[in-house]
Amino acid sequence: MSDPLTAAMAIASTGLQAQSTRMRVVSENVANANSTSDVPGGDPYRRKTVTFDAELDRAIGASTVKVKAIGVDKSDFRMNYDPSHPAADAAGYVKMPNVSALIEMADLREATRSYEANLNIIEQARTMMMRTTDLIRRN
Amino acid sequence: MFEGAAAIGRVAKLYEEAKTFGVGLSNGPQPILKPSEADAAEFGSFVKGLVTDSVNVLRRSEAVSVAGAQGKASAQQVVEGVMAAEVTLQSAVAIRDKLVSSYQEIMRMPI
Repeated sequence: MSDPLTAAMAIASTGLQAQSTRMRVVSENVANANSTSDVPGGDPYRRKTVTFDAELDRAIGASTVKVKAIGVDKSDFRMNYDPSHPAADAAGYVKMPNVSALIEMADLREATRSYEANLNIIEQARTMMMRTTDLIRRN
Repeated sequence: MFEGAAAIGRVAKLYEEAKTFGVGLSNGPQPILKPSEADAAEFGSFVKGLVTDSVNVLRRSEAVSVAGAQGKASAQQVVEGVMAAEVTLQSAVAIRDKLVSSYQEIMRMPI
């Protein structure tokens, strides 16, 4: 697999997978934007973050991307005054997840764009390979 | 897979030699081109390697497609496998076509 174009396609494919994981994490965050604890004063859902890392693939001799870790956002929770909520503490406040719809949407958009960029690389690499093969096909 | 370039180069050389074969007959009889045993064996093993490589890539692509249908492989892996198979198959077919047409070209030569 030392062919650079084949390698480009394999690398872009790992990019696609990394961005899909990011998409999954964003979707978890959005879906759990209102998930509270079920015990009074307990911690709600904590926003997840995703980090990427370059990884040397020895088979193709190039750096591919992988998801390094899915961590958690340690920022403070929002406090909502809602004494009737089952997770409300003694003062009547409920801890809400530290998920911001705005940040999640920005992340989502970025994941989509990166995904598209990787798709374009695959498409272009394939076109280049096919056109090269066409050289010996038509004469 | 692209050791094929050497074989194509040999075929092309033979073809070029063959084209100029009849030129300058007045100088007397020309040496006759004799393909050696080794050449034939090498060509055979090249074609065999080409076909084996392609079949292996196709098999892998089929396996990953099945895994994808079962939900064991991601869509990206399936697409990558199938596209690798497509490209390999196309180049294998193109090389084969080229070899066959070179052969036919030689066969059509007026003797």
